[in-house]
Amino acid sequence: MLKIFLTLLLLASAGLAQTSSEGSFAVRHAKHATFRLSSSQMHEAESLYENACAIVQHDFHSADRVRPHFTVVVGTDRNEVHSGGIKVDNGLEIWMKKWNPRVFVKGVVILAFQQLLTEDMITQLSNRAVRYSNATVDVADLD
Amino acid sequence: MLKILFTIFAIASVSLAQTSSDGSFSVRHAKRANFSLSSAQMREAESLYRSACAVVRHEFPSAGDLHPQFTVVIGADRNESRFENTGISAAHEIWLKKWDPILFADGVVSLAFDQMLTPDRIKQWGLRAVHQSDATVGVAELK
Repeated sequence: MLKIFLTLLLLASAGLAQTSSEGSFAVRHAKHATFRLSSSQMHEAESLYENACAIVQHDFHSADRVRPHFTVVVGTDRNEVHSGGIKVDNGLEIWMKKWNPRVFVKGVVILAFQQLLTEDMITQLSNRAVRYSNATVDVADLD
Repeated sequence: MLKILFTIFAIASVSLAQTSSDGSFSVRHAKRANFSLSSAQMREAESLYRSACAVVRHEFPSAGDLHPQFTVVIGADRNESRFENTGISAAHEIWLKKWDPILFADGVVSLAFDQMLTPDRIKQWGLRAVHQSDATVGVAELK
């Protein structure tokens, strides 16, 4: 009975995680389920998110809108960005010991940048690399 | 005595890992210490490496010189290009179940792209986002 109650409580707290107004990122605490950023902190986070995404998109002349989805985990034992592998879009998280706008914005920059390289683009570029590589071999073979 | 011998053997096998001619990447097997690619496979890998870097550089002219350094791990349980970019340090590996030139090229493209995100660039973009965010708040406060 206690297990069921605990599971329901966990599910409810996960469902109630604080989320940005556009739903791009969620915020939770590593230890305290009831943790929330203040509204001014959330406002700051949303503003930083928008700016960081716009800058990365602008500097790489990307036509696609850059909007990484991730979770901010506050109360971790270190500041860190968990970006997973480029072809493994899992567990995108920004870890921070306590709320820190500078750490947050660095995390957004890293995740936004990585979103620029889509799976399609990897395939396109690597196909070109393979073609060029084959061409190089052919030329060498002529010697 | 056996422990010392084992340690020496382990160090020797690591230092003898197969390395590309320009030292950009090394190859090891997840389980077999004495594994190495054939010389034709190694030539193919080196050629693909150069082509993939050139393709990414061409696609993103602001990238500058790209020479990702990484380890190829053959005999992994899945195909994956892995990087853990914490903003402080980064560990790069290409995991392959078995040698596969296409997946290797995919991995090099991913890692070359990732190399564009230097700590300096993260810092610059982060600062710009913070400054723009401050400016936005300032403008809002004027209303």
